[in-house]
Amino acid sequence: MFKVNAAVIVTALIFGTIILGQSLIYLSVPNNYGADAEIKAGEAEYSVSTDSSIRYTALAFDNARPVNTLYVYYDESYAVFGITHAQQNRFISQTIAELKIRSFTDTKIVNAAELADIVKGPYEPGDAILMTSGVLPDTVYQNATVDIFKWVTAGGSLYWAGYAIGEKVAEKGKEPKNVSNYQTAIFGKENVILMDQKISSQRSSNTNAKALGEALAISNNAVAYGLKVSGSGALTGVLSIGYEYNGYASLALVGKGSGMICVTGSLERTSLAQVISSGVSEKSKLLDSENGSLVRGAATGTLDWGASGGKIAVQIRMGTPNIVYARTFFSP
Amino acid sequence: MLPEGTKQVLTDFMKRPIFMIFMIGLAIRLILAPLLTYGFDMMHWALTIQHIQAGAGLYGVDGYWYTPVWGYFLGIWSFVMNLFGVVDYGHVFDEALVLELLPLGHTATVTTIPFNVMMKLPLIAADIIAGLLIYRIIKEITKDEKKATYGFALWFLCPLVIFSSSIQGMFDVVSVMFMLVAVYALMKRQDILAGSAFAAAVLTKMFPGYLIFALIAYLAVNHKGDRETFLRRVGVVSLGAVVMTAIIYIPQILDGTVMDSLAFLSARVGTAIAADTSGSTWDAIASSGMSLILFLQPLIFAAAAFFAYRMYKNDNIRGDQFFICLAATMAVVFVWPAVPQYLLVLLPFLIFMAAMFDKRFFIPFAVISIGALILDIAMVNFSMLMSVAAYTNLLDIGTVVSLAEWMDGPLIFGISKQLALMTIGGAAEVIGPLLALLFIILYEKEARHNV
Repeated sequence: MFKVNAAVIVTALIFGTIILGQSLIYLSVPNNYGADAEIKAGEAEYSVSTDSSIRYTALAFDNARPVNTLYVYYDESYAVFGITHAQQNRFISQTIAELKIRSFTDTKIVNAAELADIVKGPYEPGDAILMTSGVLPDTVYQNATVDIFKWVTAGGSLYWAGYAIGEKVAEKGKEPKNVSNYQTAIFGKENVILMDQKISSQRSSNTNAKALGEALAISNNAVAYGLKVSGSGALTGVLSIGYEYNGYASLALVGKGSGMICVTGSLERTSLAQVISSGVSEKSKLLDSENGSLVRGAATGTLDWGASGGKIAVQIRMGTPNIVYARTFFSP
Repeated sequence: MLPEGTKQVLTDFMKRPIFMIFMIGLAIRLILAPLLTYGFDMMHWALTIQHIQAGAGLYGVDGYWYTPVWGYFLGIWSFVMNLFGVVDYGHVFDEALVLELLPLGHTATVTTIPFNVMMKLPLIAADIIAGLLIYRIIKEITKDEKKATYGFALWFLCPLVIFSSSIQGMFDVVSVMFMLVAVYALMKRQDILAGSAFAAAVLTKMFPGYLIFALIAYLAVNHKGDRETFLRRVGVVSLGAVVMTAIIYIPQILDGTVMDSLAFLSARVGTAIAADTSGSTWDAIASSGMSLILFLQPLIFAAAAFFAYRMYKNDNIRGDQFFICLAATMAVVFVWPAVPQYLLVLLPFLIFMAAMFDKRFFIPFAVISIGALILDIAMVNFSMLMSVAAYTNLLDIGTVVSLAEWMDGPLIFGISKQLALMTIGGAAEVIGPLLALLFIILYEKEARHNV
C-alpha cells in the first residue's frame, strides 16, 4: 500500500486536507452575505443575497431605540462581583464579536473615569452603555454629581448583564459595598430582582413579547438576577422577550424616564448582541416577519403592517440555529 | 465501461468476505445516521461551521474547544454543505428546553436530519479508512487473509465504532485513522509520513501522544547496534511531526489563539484540579475521576516508558513486541471510566493482538466495546431521538422528553436508571483495559514458557 509513491500521495493528502481547511476558513472570506431594506409607511421592501446555502429571517418591529455607540465598561482597578476580570474581559470580547456578526461595530471600551465623562452628559442620542461587572464604580453611582441612572432617565440605554443591578458600588481599588434600598431607587419598588439563579423553559407570558422574542431568536433562558415582569409586584412599562421563571425574566427591557434599562439574566452573549444590534425597546411590537432559504442566490420580499409607533426597525438575519450575518435598518 | 482488468479486480473483491462485512457495516451506519443523533456534539459542529461562515475563524467566537485539525475538516465540510444546498442546520425547540436541566449535556437546539447525515459522512469515511489500515497491517504481517478480514470485521462492526461515527458524530475516529497511518508508515519506513500523521493524530485528539515512547522504541529495536540509522530515522520522523504541527498551527500563531485551541485540554485539567462535587452524582464521579487521572499522569507516562523499554530489551522473535507495547500503553492510559469514544484509540491494538497473536484479546475488546456502548447510550439518553422527533412525524418531542426524564428517574435507592446503566458501562470500561493488561501478562508468560 505504502510504496514510495503511495506514501508521497498519502502525505500530500494529509497536508493538502489541512491546508485546504485552513484556506477555506482563514485565507478567503468564507462566505458573502448582503441585505438591504427600504422602510416606507406601512411596509418595508427588503432584499437578501448570499453565495452560501442558508435560511434567512426578515422582521419588522416598531418603537426601536437604535444604538449608535456602545460604551462598554471595563476597569481592572475597580472591583467586580459574580465574575472575575478575566471572565469579564472574555465576555466583552465575545459580545463585541457577536455584535460584529450583526454588523454593529461602533463599540468603545471605557474605564470608570471615561464612563463618568459619558454619564455626566449631555446625553447624545444613540449612546448606550454595557455593564458586565456586577458592580458600579463610584464615579457614576452613589455620586453626588454624576449618576448613571439620571443619564438613563435623560434618554440613555443601559444594558446590564451579571449580578443584581445597582446592589453594589465600589471605590477604586476597594471591595464593593452594598447599597441600601437600591431597587426602590432604580425601579421605584423592592423585590423586583430575583436574587437566585434559575433556568426556565417557559417563554414570556405576553403574546406580543413572546412573538417578538421568537422572531429575534432570543435564546437566553437563564434567569439569574432577572427583573420581575409579571404577577404581583411586577414592574410596569416592561417588555420581557426571553423566558420567565415565577414572573422573573431572562431578558427584560424597562423604560425609565426617556431612557431604557435592559437586564439580561446571566451572561449570555448572543441574546445580548441581538438586543443591542436590533435596537429593540420596552415599547416595541412585532409588526411582521418572514423566513426563506437561499442557495447561492438572492431574494426580495415585503413586510407590511398596520398601526405602528416610533422608529421602525427591520432586521434581516441569516443562519439557523446560529446567526452568521445580520443587519438592522431603521426608519428615519 | 470499466477496463476488463479493473472489472476483474472488483468482481474478485466482491466475492471476498471482507466485502460482505463492509456492506453490512456500511448499511448499519447509513440506516442509523439519519435516525439517531447525539444533539449536544452535533450542535457544536453547527455552531463551529456557522462561526466559520460568519468569518470568525475557529476561535474568534467561543464554541469550538478542540485543537484545530477537526476544525479544518469542518471548514471543508462547511464548503461542501454550501455546495450541496444544506440551508437549515437546526432550530431551538422550547418544548425541549427541559432536557437542558437533565445531567450530562443535552440541548434544545436540535440539528436537522440532512445536517446530521452530512456531518457523519466524513466520520464514516474515517471508519472505513481505519478499518482498511487494520486489514492491511494484519495482512502484511501474517499474510493471512482470514486474520486480516477478522481484524477488519472487529473494527468495522464494533458497536462503539459505529455509535461514535454514525450516532454521536464525534471525531475521535479521525485521530485513530491518523494514528494507524503513522503506525503503518513507520513499519514501512515512510518516516516523514509517520511523523506528520502522528502529529495530525495528536492534534486531532491528544491520546495517541502517549504512544511516543512505543514509536521511538520500535525504531530502536529495528536498528539495534546501528545508532546512526536510528538517530536519522528519529530525526526524519520528528521533522515530519514538527512541519505538520507548524502548518496546523500557523493560523492560530498568526491570530494569537493558540491557547484557545487548547481549551479542551485545559478545561479537562481544570475539572480535574477543582473537583466539583456540587452537581449530579455522575458529575461528582467524573470530576473526582478526572482529578485522580490527572494526578496519575506521571505514573501513566512512566508505565508507557516502561513498556517501551521492555519492548527494546525483549527479543522480538514472534514479531509481537511492538503490538504488545502499543496495546499495553493504551490500556494503561484508559484504566478509568473514560468518555466512551476516547477508547476508540485502544481498540485497534486489541484487534491486532486478537487477530494476529492471541484470540483471548477478543474478550477485553468485547468488554470495552459493549461497556462503552452501554455508557454511551446511557449518557446520550433518549435525546438521541430528538432530530427524528423534531423533524418527522414518527415521534413527538414531548415523548422524547418524557423518556429522557424517565431515564433520569430513580431505579433503586435513589439511583437513577441512567446512573445505574452508566455505572455498569463505566465498570466494564475499567475492567476491559485491566483484562487487556492481564492477558498481556499471561500471553508473555506463556510465550516465554514455549520458547
